[in-house]
Amino acid sequence: MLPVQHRHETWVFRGLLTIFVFFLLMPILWMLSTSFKAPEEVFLKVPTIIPEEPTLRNYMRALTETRILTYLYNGLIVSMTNAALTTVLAALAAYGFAKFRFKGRKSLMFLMISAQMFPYAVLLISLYPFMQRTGLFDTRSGLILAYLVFAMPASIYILFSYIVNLPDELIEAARMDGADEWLILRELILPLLTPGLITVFLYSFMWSWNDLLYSLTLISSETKRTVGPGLLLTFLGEMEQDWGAAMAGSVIVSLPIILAFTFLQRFFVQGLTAGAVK
Amino acid sequence: MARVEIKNVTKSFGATEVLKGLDIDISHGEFVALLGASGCGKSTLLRCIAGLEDLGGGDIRFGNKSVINIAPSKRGAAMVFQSYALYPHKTVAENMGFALRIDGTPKPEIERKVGEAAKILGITPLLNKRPRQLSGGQRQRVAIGRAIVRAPEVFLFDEPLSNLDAELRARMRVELTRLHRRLDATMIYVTHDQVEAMTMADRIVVMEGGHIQQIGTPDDVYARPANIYVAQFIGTPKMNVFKLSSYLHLQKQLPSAVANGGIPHTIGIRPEDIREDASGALKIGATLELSESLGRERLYHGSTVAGDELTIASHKEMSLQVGQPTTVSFNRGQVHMFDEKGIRLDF
Amino acid sequence: MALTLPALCLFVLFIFYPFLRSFGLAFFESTLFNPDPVWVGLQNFHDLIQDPTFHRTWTTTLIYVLVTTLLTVMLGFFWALILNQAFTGRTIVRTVTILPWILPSTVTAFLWAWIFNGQFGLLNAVLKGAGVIDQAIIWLATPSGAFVAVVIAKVWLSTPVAMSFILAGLQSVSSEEVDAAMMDGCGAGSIIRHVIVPHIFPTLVIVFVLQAMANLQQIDTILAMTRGGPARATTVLSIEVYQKAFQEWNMGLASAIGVAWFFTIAIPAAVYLHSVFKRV
Repeated sequence: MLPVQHRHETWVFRGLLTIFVFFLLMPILWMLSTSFKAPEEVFLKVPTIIPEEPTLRNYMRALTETRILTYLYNGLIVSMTNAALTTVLAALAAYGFAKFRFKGRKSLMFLMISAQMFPYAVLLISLYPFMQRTGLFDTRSGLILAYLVFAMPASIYILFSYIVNLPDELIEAARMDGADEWLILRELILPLLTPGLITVFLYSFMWSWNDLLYSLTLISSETKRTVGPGLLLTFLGEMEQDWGAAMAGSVIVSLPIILAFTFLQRFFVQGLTAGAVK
Repeated sequence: MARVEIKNVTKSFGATEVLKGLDIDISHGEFVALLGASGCGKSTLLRCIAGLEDLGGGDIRFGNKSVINIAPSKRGAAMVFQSYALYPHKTVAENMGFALRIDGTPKPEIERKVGEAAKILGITPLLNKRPRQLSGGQRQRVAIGRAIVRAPEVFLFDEPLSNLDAELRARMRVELTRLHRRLDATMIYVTHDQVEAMTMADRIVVMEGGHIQQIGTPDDVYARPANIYVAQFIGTPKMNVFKLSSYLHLQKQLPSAVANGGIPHTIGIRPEDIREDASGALKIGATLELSESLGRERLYHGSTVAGDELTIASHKEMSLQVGQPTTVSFNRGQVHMFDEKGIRLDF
Repeated sequence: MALTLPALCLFVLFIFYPFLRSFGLAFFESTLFNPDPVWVGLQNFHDLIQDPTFHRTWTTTLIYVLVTTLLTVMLGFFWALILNQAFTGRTIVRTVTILPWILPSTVTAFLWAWIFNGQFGLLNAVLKGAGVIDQAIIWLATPSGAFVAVVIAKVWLSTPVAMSFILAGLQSVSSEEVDAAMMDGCGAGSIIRHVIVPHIFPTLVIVFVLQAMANLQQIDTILAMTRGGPARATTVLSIEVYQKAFQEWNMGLASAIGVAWFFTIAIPAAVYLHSVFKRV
């Protein structure tokens, strides 16, 4: 903490704080404000900050006249499954890397973690025909598997840091107590890893929920579309006309991730930063 | 019967040899302390006995049966770890009963055994708490309780008291001794704290650099240290040592050779055996530079005429002139003699 | 070893194999009209080097990455310094201002497109109200305006990320060191310069590198806001690859761009991975 003692320092501090809060929150508040405005109010030359006659019409339109509910449903299925898959596989791999010494351990881990630097669009060039050949194109399962590249490398590293920090004595104590490897993983590692697992789950959920590129390319039928491309393609053509509904739609698709984050944010920020800084 | 035999045990980590052929024979019910500075190999030896490390060579036998190919949990030994290694997400009772549960012991029996152990250690009210709700001393008891519940023939302790404060450590020493009497089990106890070793152990194994320096009772290692290393390692403040070649007048008063033909090279005198006057038979000129009061006794630090460091422990208040040359003395019976290699010589 | 096997299988199938295949495709001609790849050697790369629009894409990418990353790290650093102070409502401010990080990228793009909207946008209204401009600027339709908009959108969404990492680093600066500097008569400015920055410099480097990698990858917000336009002003490498591959269906050329792109990412990535593997 820095010393802020003099009066002018206090004012500088408050000023900076206000500017940052304004910069970070204004767009979101503006989205909320617009989403509650009637069309006439949206298109005023001098915009109103707070809607003068708040209305839910934009939300009604977004929910009934577009397929946003379908996108939400698809998004939830794809993101939940991908998050679960990533979490389980990353936990197993991280445990293997952290507590067992086998040949090629380091290079294998290096390879897996470095996968996060492969340009996603380049990967897509080959994923696209691959998905078509294997019948995974335009399926939710295909999208779920393609999403592995986003969160898996970082997840392995995050969980690896967690497990490495678990004292060896704890595992040895369990071994002295007669536990075999599976029992140690089930009864000791996984329960102690819970914060890390939540972090990783949330992180991979966020990646798949927020993605635009992969879903746009690998899903072609509207009934399977997820929220990113769904929102874009719904409002892209008419964006100029219907900003009210576009903002309402944006609020709706942001809600699940905001909800998840509100309850679990403690794990999110701490979990993600713990591994990187130290 | 849990006699523990350690036979020519070796162990290396990569190119570093940490155990260089150790032999220890521990009889049933004995309390043996493995004592040494950090890095001497004592913890590695304990982990080999537990089965957490494989041996490089040699054999470890529990009651005439080699255990080196037996899984840690099947050896009939229980271990108390330095960090206690309690399972943070399990209650005290679950921690203590974990091994029995894995073993398939029926639930009522687990509860009975955990209850008994808790009673012995006075932790019955804590059984439903989790480790993080406990104080250091309480965790320590739970860790011991987890070992007791399994009714092992051999207890292995890895510096179990090192995370406790001084007062608690003193209390736990007494309790562990009491526990040892009550349980009639073999105990092997690793520590770097000579007070723990001296107060609790039946025998002490002094280790250094992967070797055993001496095995003996506490009185033995203190009164008859096998070599200079042990002599200086055991006892606080540590023993004064003087090279005889710097004190020719003493050389004349001591035997020039002992019965087995050894030639005295160095002598050692414990600080409490030195008198701060000239009343002893052997005298050395010295200058004392400062004194420290420990309440019960005083320590005087200075140097001899030959420039060796000198420490004296005295119960008396000395009318000592700090910085003035004086004469200190000791008797022949209080002198420990060592040959050129540092091996003890007896008159 | 066996524990890593499931992850490894999926990695090979869905990451390593397609990636290597894309890499190889750079040496083939493969277009919508010629779907069967034909070996052309270095022809694709040759075409790229000759192509002035590709040079432009490069410049655009480098400027986009540098400006965005620098701004993000700087804002993240100052924001972290502010949030490291004790003030009422700190926890709630810290929590709520994370939001830009977690919103879907399409939403982020919409928010900023709406703010930068030429006719009814908030920005123009504010600028006009303050007397800075008298005529509305059609931001997203002018090259520099669109570029500013995509940079600001990305900086906005990444500042909380950078802040979180830097704040974690700041919290490891011992308060004793700051106290000692205060006893030595340092003010806030010199404490930042002489105590805090040296202490968290490694963190700043890591954040910079991670952000640079992410910005080199960034495509979603740009795709949704400008589709690379106007007049290719916001066409960065990722957009270029995407459009060459999935709009012009020229897979060979797209892959060749991808190879060049990969080696650009590899530079910051090597720095990052080096720091990660020091600790393994």
